[in-house]
Amino acid sequence: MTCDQIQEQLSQYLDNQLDDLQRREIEAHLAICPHCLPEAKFLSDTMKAVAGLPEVEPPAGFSQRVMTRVRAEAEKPTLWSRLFQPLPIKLPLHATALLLVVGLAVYLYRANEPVETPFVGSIPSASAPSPVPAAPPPQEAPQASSEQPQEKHSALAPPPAAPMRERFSENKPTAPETDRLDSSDQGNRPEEMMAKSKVEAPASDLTAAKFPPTRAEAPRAAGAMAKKEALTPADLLLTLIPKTETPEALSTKVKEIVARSGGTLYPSEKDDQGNTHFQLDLPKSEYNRFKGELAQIGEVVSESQISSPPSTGKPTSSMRVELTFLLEKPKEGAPAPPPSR
Amino acid sequence: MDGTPDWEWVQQVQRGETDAFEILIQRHQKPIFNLLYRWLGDREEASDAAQEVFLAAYRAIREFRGDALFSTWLYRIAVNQAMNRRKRLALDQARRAEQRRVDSDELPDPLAALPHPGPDPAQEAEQKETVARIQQGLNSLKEEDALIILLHDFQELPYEEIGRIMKLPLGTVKSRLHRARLALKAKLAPHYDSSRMER
Repeated sequence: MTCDQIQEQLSQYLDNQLDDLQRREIEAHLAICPHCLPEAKFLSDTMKAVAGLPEVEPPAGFSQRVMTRVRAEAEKPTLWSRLFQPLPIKLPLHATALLLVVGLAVYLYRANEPVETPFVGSIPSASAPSPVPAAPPPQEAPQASSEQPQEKHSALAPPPAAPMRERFSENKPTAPETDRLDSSDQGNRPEEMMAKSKVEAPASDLTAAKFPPTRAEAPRAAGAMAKKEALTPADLLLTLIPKTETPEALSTKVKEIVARSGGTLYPSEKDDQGNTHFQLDLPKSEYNRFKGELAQIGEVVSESQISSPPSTGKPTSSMRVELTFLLEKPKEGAPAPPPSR
Repeated sequence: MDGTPDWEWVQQVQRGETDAFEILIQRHQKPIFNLLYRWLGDREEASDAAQEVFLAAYRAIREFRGDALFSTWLYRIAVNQAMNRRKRLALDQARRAEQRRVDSDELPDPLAALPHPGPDPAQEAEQKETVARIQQGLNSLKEEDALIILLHDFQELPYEEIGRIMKLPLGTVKSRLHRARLALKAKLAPHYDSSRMER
């Protein structure tokens, strides 16, 4: 082996990493080589000097200092927990903030509802926010017809409040839970009040018109009829005088006519004076046919169109019609119903 | 300290028992601190770096699966933590050495400009001059050369573990260690006095 080869292996030789044969070769070379031996000794001294560097102790309190930082790190909430696992102290704050936001959203939604003809016949509740001046409660409202009994207004009472509203109001709902879920606050919404007012005006003129049944009453009368989705205003009011039909026959025929027209009939209601009210949804294209067939069972004495606010959510292809079959003819000189279509 | 393996303490920490980490610190603080002290050549820097090493280890301890020794894993963190510090220290020392050269007409000793450990009670019992020259020689080496010498000759780690720490194959560890020793020998050659260096 040459000196270069020997010196290349000196580190492993000094680390005892060579096998016996290699070791003997190197030792034999070092024994006779005046150049490699001092190199080996110098390298060995260097290694020993490094190995002999004194060990020092870590600074006093080193582990405690590290543990202080480690514990602080352990207690630091992660981003996840900061966002989604609030401490108990934060929970009421979050709940309060959520309620405030929801309340504000509901208020703004109601305050920004589009409002049409500010005619207010009777608004059942003055507690609902409305951009128009609130009318007095029904029992105090000036009546177009003094013959209309006060009890009628019970049918005009607002439907029970929706669950969300219950949290903001002390008024407790009276309807069953299923109805409350469906009615969803319709009774107190401004457009509902407006719609009711619009409906009530010609009804007053016609002496006895009245609203369809409330959601709480609907299931009782429904039978095979469609369940009313919501108490929404009618687009059209038709007042008729029945042609010698019994109430049962009248109901059956109306049901058939509506079915033939592709419409949906909601439960009928009879008011104190014997007037029968139907509310139904009808494809607009079927209206003339519907009206024609309707003439077979009653004489149309008034046809009043009421524009619906665009926010009612009803499809534009259908219209809501309210039929009122009068027990008796309207009085002479009564105010004319709104202009017909 | 009992003979419970590191892995069991690690698992306790992984389960959220933070206090178990203190056992691991107490077991490994001395070799880690000494490696950093000799590698960085500065006691304060070594203390700061060692704290960062253990804190980084705690943060990442859930990633430790026990495939290697905990000490090996810790050394790797130490190497990563201290590498940038050593480069920064070397630059600082070079600037200071340059400033001293400008301020003084006499030619400076290149090794004297390198950092050396501060006073240490244990070190005072040693031959200060020899220790200081060895330290200065280490400081003047490339980072990897100083590291491999310290891991093998100072910390007495086997080649295989050095390979895992430095992510080097075994053959490369052997050859690189030899070259590093020759480099250190060359640094110390002007001051070599076999009678003083031998222990």
